[in-house]
Amino acid sequence: MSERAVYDAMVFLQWAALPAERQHGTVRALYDGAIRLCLSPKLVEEIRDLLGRPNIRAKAPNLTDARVTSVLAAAGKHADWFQQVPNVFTLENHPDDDHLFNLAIEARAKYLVTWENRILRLGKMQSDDATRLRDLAPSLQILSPPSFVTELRSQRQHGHAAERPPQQPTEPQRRPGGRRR
Amino acid sequence: MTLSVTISPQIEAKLRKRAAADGQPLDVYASKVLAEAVAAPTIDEILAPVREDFAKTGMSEKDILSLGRRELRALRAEKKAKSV
Repeated sequence: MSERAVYDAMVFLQWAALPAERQHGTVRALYDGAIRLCLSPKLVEEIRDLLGRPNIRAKAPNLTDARVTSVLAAAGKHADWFQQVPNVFTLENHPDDDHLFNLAIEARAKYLVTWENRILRLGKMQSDDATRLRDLAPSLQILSPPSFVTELRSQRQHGHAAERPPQQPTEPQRRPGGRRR
Repeated sequence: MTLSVTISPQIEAKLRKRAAADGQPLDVYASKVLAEAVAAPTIDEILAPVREDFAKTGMSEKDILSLGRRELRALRAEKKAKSV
């Protein structure tokens, strides 16, 4: 079974904006079946809102609502959908990121992939917040997209996937109008 | 054309089950699945014109990510203001 990963909205902007030559390892990881993406209503709303910002659309006239919908549909084929995500974790000083942490916790994701330095730092800190997060998601790794791609490459080379004990991830939920995954 | 591919026993079992449920011979169903998979555009294909747009702006990757971070902060601030 593939491990689950949460990508923040910035990863989707990266898909849209960075050149094709970058090879987009976070996209490839979906098509290779290396990971299952985790999506929730709040995350999808944030992705749509970010990619719909006038300052971003001004740079890319081809970034239309229809295209964003197509991207989310294509990504959705490699995703598990979590309609209800309980609020079990909060960063008091920065609650804006809570939906990412809570989705990762609910999905028992192995990876939270983000460009946000504040979140990346949390993965390495010894603070109370970091300890609480580790208690709720002991196997969660918080990585930047380049580090995530390096990690997957390393796992492929060393065959770590075969050595991992089997996990029992939570059952994904039915997406309205969608297939159960 | 005729294509010969090797699949795992697990995939074969799934394929046989789904073909039976669809009322199709195995090879016809497999061909249909393949056609559907190839017909759907990939994320890279969907975003190719958008990536060209951004390339034309001359923005560096650092600039693009900075723009994204600024916009995400602004978006969240706007939502917070609306919810108060």
